[in-house]
Amino acid sequence: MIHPQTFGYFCREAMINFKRAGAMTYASIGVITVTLFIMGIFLLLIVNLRLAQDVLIKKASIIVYLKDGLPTETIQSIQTNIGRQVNQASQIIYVSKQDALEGFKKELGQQEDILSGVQGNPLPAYFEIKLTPSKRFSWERLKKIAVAIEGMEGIEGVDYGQKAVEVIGTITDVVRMFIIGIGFILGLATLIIISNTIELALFARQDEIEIMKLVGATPWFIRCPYLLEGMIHGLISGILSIGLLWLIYHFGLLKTLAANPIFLFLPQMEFISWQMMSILIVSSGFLGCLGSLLSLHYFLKSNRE
Amino acid sequence: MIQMRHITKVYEKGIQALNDINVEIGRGEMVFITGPSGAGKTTFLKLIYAETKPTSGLLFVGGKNVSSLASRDVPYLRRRIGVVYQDFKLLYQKTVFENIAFALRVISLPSAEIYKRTIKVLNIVELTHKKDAFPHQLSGGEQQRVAIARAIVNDPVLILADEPTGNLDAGMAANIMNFFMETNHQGTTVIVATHNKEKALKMGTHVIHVDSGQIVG
Ligand SMILES: Nc1ncnc2c1ncn2[C@@H]1O[C@H](COP(=O)(O)OP(=O)(O)O)[C@@H](O)[C@H]1O
Ligand SMILES: [Mg+2]
Repeated sequence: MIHPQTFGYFCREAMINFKRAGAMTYASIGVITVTLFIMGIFLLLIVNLRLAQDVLIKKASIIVYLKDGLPTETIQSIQTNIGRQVNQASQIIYVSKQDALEGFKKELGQQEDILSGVQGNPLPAYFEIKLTPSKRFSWERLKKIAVAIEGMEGIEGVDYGQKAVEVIGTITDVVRMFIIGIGFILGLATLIIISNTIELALFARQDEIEIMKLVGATPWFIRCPYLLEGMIHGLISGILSIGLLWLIYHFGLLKTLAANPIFLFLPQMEFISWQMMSILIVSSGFLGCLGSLLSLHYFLKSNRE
Repeated sequence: MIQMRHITKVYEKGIQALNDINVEIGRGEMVFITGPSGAGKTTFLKLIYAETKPTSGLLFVGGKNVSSLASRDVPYLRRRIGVVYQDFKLLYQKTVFENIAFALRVISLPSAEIYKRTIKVLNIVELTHKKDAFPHQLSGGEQQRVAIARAIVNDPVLILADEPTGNLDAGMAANIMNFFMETNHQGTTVIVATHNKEKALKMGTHVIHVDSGQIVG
């Protein structure tokens, strides 16, 4: 619909505006970049929380503690019943009270004498179920299996890493709420900044817009270069903020994590996905356009009375 | 080309610029609107290119009812009218060439066509050698000619000129007037507003004399 040459004209005009606004343009791009960067940090956080949760579930195992003094037949029937709950490939290992104590002693190593004051064997016998979860294995599925096993006779309790997964789940929920709230505020801020920058450009070119109207330009023709300019502001800011985020992620976060063994439990880290990056860039471009449109509204009002 | 029926224009604060104007201007006519400053000449022209709406009355331009023209149709009306404004309304950060080409860019003509037509009118107003100059580097008369060139560049069927010889010396004023006559002879309707009644009468064409918003004589 638009003649390619007219489009060329729009681009040239947008670039002229861009240069003419000078410092204001850079300030606006800077502020929006930082705004989007903050948004990006939260996205990064949520991506990695979800990853951690995933990894925990994939590694999932259930420890089933048995009551003391169960007859061998009962223990065998428990094993059979557990076998019915989990899939064929899963391993079910029985660890007797004695084995449990040996294992614990081995873990303690030189500090073994801690146990010298302990009477008898305080450790329960247990089954360790090593699940081989399928791709779609979920936290809910794991929980269901664990609860079913817990209900069996002769079971003291089950442990399936519920604490860790639940904590991560809660954090993820909170961060997600935060992203929605912050996203809204930051989006609004971006909109206001861009619309103000464009408005300044429009003030400087008021005469030009008036003359365009007088020689028969349609409102859309007048709008186009400014919409393009707003979009460029948004896109540049979006790209810069992702670049910044990547630098921080790569040279800040990963380096720190590698140097701190505390974080070793985090099996791996991930940068935000291509889809997320595209969404961030496209929506900032869109916000730029919208910002321009808002400020143009005032200038293009018909002044025929 | 233009029919005005009981046209009245009252600006805010009750300033009455035009009062019950009835005018008929035919296609291909050359018309002078004369009258002292503040008589309502500029308002008369503004009504025609839909810069302002009549308070009451009917106005037809080229068969279109401009008194009730929708805002979205205004650009298309203006593309058929070439206006030379009293204050030129040139873009001071664009070159002479760009100022003229501007009127063609907004109607999205191809570059080659824009170039061809712009050069043609630059020739007509004898400003080819100044095409890369900026308006502030030109004399008043030269700026006036740029304004005229922009008004005629898209071959309008109607030319409106508001005091086009206002700041020109006698020789240049005569040149410009001859130019309008020439354009008119080629079939374009021309309406020129001027406060100089004698000169208008000397041209021997249709003269509408207004005073205090009313047609007199
Ligand atoms: N935009 C406006 N708002 C209010 N009054 C105006 C406006 N434009 C013109 N006028 C008034 O209308 C009257 C006619 O003005 P104008 O049409 O410019 O006359 P002319 O061009 O003959 O000098 C004058 O009294 C002028 O002050
Ligand atoms: Mg006037």
